[in-house]
Amino acid sequence: MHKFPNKFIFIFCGVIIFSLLITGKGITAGRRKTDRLGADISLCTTVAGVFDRSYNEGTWKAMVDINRKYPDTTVNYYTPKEERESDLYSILEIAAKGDPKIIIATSINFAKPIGIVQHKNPEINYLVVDAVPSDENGNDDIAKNTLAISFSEHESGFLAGYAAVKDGYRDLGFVGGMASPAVKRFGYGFLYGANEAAKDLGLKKGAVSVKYTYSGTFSPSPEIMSLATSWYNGGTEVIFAAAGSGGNSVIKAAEQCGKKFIGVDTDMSRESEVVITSALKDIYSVIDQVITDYKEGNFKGGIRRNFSAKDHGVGLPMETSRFRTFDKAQYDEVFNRVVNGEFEMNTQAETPEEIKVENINVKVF
Amino acid sequence: MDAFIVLFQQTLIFTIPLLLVALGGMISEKSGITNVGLEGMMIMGAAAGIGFIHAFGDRWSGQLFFIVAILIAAIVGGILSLVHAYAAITIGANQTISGTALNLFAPAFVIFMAEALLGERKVNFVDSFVVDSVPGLVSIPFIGPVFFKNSYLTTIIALAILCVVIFVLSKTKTGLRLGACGEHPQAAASVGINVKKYRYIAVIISGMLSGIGGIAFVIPTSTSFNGTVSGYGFLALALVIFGKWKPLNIFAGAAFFGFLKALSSVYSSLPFFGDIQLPAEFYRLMPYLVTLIVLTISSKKSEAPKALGIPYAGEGE
Repeated sequence: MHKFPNKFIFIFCGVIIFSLLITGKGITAGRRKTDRLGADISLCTTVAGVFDRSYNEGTWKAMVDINRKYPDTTVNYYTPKEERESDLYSILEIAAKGDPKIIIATSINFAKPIGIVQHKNPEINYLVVDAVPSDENGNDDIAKNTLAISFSEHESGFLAGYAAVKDGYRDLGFVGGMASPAVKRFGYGFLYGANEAAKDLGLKKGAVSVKYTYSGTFSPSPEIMSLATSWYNGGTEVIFAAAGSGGNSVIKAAEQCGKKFIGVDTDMSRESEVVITSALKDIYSVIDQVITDYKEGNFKGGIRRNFSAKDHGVGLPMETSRFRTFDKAQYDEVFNRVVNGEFEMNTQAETPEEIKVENINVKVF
Repeated sequence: MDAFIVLFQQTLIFTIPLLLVALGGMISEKSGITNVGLEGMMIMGAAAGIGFIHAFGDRWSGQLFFIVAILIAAIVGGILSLVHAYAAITIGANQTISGTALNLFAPAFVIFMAEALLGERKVNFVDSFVVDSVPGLVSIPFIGPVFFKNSYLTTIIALAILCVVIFVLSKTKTGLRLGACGEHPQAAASVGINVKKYRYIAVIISGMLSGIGGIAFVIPTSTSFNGTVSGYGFLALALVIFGKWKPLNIFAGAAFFGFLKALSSVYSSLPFFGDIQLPAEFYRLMPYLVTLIVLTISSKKSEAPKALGIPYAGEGE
């Protein structure tokens, strides 16, 4: 024993330093055409990173294209190792050290961290998507240099639910990640959409039924896979999953059971053949629009901006959808009705039971 | 009835990886080495196997390909376990630390490699390994659809490994010697058993089983691997204690826990459970609550190997 401690310390320091080096790589700075540490526009992502085939990727793509359009505007990104508020706060601080003009953050978990840094760095403009900055007590607090962006997810969910029922699906399911405001809006909109389609088709009450639940996680897990398998086996034809990459577990179940899936946030059609459509939030055009505004000197902070169907902020990707009969003409018709505000939706409800949909059966788990 | 078949099918999905990893943990602990690094070995094994499937999935498919991927997962799990074995056996270091180091290292390394090689933080794979139905066997009532419909080869492999482990541990000289190394290494050494060799073999086997467990965990439940096995390595570690270091008990424990996990996921489509309006959180809490209670009741008399976690310096050192 006693002749070993030096070797032992050496090896363990080695292992620990190596793993620290590697975890340290979790904070990645993708620099473009610049010598200084930061960039003009910095993106702070969620743990999934910028190549998540989802939200972060859409944001990053928009930023890269901005860089192409205005080569003097440099862009980079930072990815946290974990999604605790302290981790998010520290990557925001690291991003701020690079002296950027705009910092973009895209997750509800950034609410409190942004609430702090927006006052600390008043010379930086913050763009926070899907979250409203809040103070320590959880009250909304949007500083002059911050723009909070939200989407009308319920309209996107509405279109997905409407299209699914119009396309002949009668037994639907909704799996949300957690009961966050955005996920709830997706789910409620889905119920309203299915309800409206059932009414348009003149179906009897009970002809269309929707199962509704929250899985409790946004990552792939056997729990989500089992849940989806049991629903599919119980007759559910298509599941709309607003559960981030947890959707991959639902896709797995759909593939095994030969059933269908509706994706969320971005166009998920290339993930699998079972994806019939996706309830989009067009983050790309929103980021593009806001940064272009900034370039032209029209950036306005201190407010919330909502992007709805009217602004083409939400919708379905009809080119890549795999519907049986539902076509572009039908889509455009219902899309215009949504834009005109024909459908009243309660997006503030605490639970899905409060959603009044008379033409369909909703079962909440 | 169909709903119940789904329930038991899903039970297998939770049970099989837990069983494999817990058996690995048990073998290691039988020899006297605590293996906290099961989670890390699962992740590395799964990453290697799935990386292989990702790389060659467009050219090859089918069961033989799956077996090769499983072997690769086992080998990589075994190699990673050598780090733990060297620290714990040759150097005589604190066994918890090196295991924890592996748990920290594995997920970070996998994500790092995925981002470096593939440019994204997950590895997508095509699953061509599900067996739709085994002709003949599938018509056995109940057992047929549960084991032989939409099933994976890993189920059979895991059950076979279970049988081998039971046989080797209780009926062969090797198994009894392994147990002796964990109970009283000095006594074992005094009759000429090479304690360090047995311990090395045990730790490597635990790494290999963890690697297989890792790939058995990821393949049936997702279409991509993002460097996590959701703490199942730690659950397996708890199962070793739960099962009192006996393979059959561990199997029972894994099946019991797997059943509760499956119930908490599929209850909504079962006749009785779906109708009583209990909150979903209740079902999700159940497996852990029941495990806690059973552990509290059953652990009055611990049957852990006596020399567990104590470094053995060997003769003349």
